[in-house]
Amino acid sequence: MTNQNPRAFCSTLCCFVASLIGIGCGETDARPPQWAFIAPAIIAPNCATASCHSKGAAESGLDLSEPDVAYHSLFAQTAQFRIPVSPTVPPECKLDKGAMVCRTGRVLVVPCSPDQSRLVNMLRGRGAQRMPPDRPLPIGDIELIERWILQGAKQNPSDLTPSCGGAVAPDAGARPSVDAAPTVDARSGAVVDTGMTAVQDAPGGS
Amino acid sequence: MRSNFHRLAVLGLFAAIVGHAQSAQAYPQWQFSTGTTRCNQCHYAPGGGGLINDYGRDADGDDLSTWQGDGSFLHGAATLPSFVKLGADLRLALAAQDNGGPEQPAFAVFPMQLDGHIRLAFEAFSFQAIGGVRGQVRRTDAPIPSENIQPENSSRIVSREHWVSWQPEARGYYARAGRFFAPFGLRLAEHLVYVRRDLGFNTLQETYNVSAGYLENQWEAHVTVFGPDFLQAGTREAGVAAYGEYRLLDETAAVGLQTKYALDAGFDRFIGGAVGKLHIEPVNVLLMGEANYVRLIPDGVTAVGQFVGLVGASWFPPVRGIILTGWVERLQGDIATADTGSSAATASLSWFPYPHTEIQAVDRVQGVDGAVTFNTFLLQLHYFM
Repeated sequence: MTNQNPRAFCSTLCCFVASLIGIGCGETDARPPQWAFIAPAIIAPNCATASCHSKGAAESGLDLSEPDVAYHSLFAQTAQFRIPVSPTVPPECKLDKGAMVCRTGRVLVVPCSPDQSRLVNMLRGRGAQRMPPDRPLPIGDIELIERWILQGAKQNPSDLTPSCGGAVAPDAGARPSVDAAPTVDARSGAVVDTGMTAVQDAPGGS
Repeated sequence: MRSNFHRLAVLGLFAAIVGHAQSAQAYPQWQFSTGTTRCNQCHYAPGGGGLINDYGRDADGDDLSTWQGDGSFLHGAATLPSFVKLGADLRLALAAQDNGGPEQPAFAVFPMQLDGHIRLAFEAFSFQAIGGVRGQVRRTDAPIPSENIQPENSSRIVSREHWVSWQPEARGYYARAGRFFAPFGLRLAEHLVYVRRDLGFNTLQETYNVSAGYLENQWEAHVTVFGPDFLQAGTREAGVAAYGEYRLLDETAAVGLQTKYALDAGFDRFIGGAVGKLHIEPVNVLLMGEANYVRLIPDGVTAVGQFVGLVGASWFPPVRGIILTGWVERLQGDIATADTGSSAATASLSWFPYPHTEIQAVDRVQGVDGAVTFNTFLLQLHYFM
C-alpha cells in the first residue's frame, strides 16, 4: 500500500504524537459545524450513555443517541410544572391533586442565539446544572456547537429554515415560552417539572 | 431555587454514577502479579470478567485477602451440584463530585450494584448469565410528558450478560454467543475510564456477539462479530472486533494488538490500538498501558482522528489484600484540533480484607480542555458471594 500524500501522513502522525501528551495540533477548528457531525461526534458519545439520554433511558424525555431523534429532542420538548391553584385555569393547565399541572413547550436550542440556548447554558454550567455531569465538554466542542447554532442550528445545511436574521425557533410561536411560566411550587419551593429540568437560565454571556 | 439546583445536581450525579453502576468485571491488575497469565484462570468467561471459578475462589480465600477464609460460594455453607455455579455482587457507594457547576459539590450514598450470576455447565457446553437492577434514575412521581420521548426500556431489571459457550478445555479453542463485551483492551473494572467509555465498552453497552478464539498461556486471540442490543435498547453498534495478546519475558509481560470496526447510528468507527503490561517482580509493580487511534466517520461529513489512551501502574504492597493503582488518561476528540480533549488522573485503593469483601476508594481528577478541572471521589463497599 502506498501513501499518496506523505506530508499529510506526517502531519497526522505529528498530531497523533502530540495528542499522546495531551494537546491537539491545530489552533483552528476545521470540523464542520453541522448536525451530521456534531450529533455522532459530540452529543451521542457524551450524552447518550446507557442510563442518561440513551434510547433505553431517555432521561428527562431526551433521546440523544441518534441524529434525527436527538434533533427532535432539542427542539420539540415539553416542560411540565405544578403550580398553586388559581381561580382561572389557563388552557395549558389542568387540575391534579390539589395543584395545577401545566405544560408548555420548551426548545433547548434557539437558532442563531447560543446565549439564549439552554443547551449551551447547560454545557457551560451557566446558571444551570452543568452537563454532562460526569465529564463536561471541552471548550472546542462547545464552541463548535455554538457555531452550529449561530448558523441556524439546521438539521441539514440545505434546509431553508431555521435561518438567521429574524428567525425564531421551530414551533416557538405555537407554544408559550417556558421562561414565562412559573417554575416553583409556592408551597414547597421546589421545581416540580417533570420530563424537563426547569431551572431558569442565566442571561447570556460566557 | 437553591434547593432545586441542589436536587438537580444530586440527580445528575446519580445519573452519572448510579446509572453507570459497575458491572462485574475482572481485575486485570492480578494478571502476572499473582502468577496467572490468562483471565480465564480465575473467570469462567474466556475473556475474563463476571463469575469466578473454583481456582479464583480459592485464590480469593487463600492468597488475595488480608485475612484468609473460605472463598467458595456462601463461604462454603452450601454445596451446589457440580453443574451449577451461582454468585452475586452487592455494592454500596458513597460519591462526591464537583464539576464546577452551580450547587456543587454534590454528595450521594446509594446502592451501586445488585447482580446475580448463574452458570450451568454440561461437559464442554455452558450457559452463563448476569441479571440485576438497572441503574436508572427517575423520580417515581415524575412521569415524562407524553409529548416527550419515552424511554424504551422501562424495566429496571436487566441482564448485562447472557451467553452460551463451547469450550472443551480451559486452554484451546472456544466459541461463544450471546450478550457480553467483546474481549478488547485492558478491561479495567472502572467503566468511566476513557478506554472503555469512549470505545464502546461503557456500562450496559454490551453487544450481542458471536465470538471465537484460542487461549494459551503464552498467547491468546479473540475475534468477535457483534450486533446491536435489540432487547434492552442499549448500544446499536454492529461490526467486528479482534484482540490478540502475546506474553513474553517468562510470562511477566504482555503485548496486545486490537482492532474494531463498528457501524452506528450516523457514523462508522474504526479503532486500532495496542495494549502492554509488564510486571516488575522485585517491587511487585504492574505497569500497564493502552493506546488507540480512532477514526470517526460521520455520515456525509468530514471524518476525524481521535486518540484514546491510558498508562498506569499497580503496586501490591507487602500487606496482602491491598492494591494501589494510579493511572492517567487522555481522550483527544480531534487529533488535529486543540481544545477538544480531556485528561484524567485517577488513584485507587482496593482493600480485600476478607474473602468475598472489598473496600475501594477512588479519586479521579479530570481536566477538560479550556474548561473546568473537577474531582470525583467514590468509596465502595463490595460484597460478592
